[in-house]
Amino acid sequence: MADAEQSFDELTFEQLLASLEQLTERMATGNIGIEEAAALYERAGELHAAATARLAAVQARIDKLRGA
Amino acid sequence: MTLFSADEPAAVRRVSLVKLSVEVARAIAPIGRIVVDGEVHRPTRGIRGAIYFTLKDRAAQISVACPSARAARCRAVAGERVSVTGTLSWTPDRGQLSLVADEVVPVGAGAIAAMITDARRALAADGLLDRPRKPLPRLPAVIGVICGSDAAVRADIESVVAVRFPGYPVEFTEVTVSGSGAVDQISGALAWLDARPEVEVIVLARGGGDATQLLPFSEESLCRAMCRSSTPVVAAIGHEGDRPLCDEVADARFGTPSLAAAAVVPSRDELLVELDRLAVAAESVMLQRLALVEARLAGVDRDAAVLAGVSVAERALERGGLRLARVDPAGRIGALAARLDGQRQRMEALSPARVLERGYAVVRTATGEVVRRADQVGQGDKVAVELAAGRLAATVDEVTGG
Repeated sequence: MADAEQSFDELTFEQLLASLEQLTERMATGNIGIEEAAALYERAGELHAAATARLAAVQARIDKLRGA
Repeated sequence: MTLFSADEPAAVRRVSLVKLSVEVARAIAPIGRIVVDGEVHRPTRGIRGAIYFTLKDRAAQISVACPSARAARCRAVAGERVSVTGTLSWTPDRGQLSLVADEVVPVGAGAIAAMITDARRALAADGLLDRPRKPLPRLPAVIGVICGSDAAVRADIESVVAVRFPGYPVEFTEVTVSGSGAVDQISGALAWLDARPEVEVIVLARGGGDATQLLPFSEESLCRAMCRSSTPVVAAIGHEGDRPLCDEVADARFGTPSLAAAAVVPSRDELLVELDRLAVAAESVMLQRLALVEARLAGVDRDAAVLAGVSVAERALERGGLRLARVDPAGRIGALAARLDGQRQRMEALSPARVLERGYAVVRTATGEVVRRADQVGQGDKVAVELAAGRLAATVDEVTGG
């Protein structure tokens, strides 16, 4: 997978969500092996964690601004 | 001693022409910047791009000069009624009083419509109306808002923020949004916000107004400033139904500032639901794939499958000249099966189906949205209740809390 090495930091929030959707679609098609599907699932988990962290970072920034 | 002082006695005095000229210049200086309406007569264009015309009324007239640097902001079409903003200037060597304009805008519906048509044609000629639009970010670091100093627009936007994502970073830049100077101030604010990397979307917002008040938002130079912005610009001008020209060049346009805010301020709840949905989708697809593999494994004679697999692999490896993998192919297949089984168990532990089996239920609205708070539904709404086995169609009898 070409973009497997790409750092999540370089992706925008919407790119993270779009990648997550694409991965799920690829997993759903029957023309990849179960091992590849498992690898994609693992990456989907990472993307999901990154997107969740991005949202949490925004919230943390807001909380900090309000505390200041 | 000045010539035009009011308490000077009305005596006839002899003065030099130079003195007279200096006194005239001194007398007009305190008038400052003025706005004058009138009709354009005999407009001409100088070699360097300056525009000259006579501004006429029924009983008076004055020469108007628009320096080339301001010519883009001065529209002079013969017979059109205009509003000229500028300062009076006395040219001693020609003995002429003129109004040096920094803005000439049309007055009246007909003239305004003509100006917009001309501006649209000029923008279209440069391909600015059908240039590709920039997408709006889902989670902008900071939202820049350019608006007037009236509280209403700002309050509208702030109340949307309070609902969708309380405390979301929005930076308001207050400028003059109608009349002379508006275009310069708005364009300046645009460039300033565009230069700041953390501002990832800019909203140009203004409440309703008549055609004259909304005129700056149809001016060619403002539209061009919007096209120059590398940050996406959202137009939210006036009320639903107002369509200033800037709507046609914006990356997105909305009928009111509130609608624009709802489009650029992310909804925290919606994002969380979407993330949940994506996680559940990935999980269930993976589970389906595993179930399929498992069914196939169970459906074949395992020994025959291993042998067939081994002979296919051997042939492939021999063709490729690889000998190494022949050492223990059966062991490799066994390891794969064990790995799959471990993965399936991990997946199943996470599965929403397992949660349902413990007696929990998922409630969805008619549109399929998962109900997390009571205030998502109203009395009498139809909801679908998903159980570990089967589903129920139900109607909401009462809503409490939320």
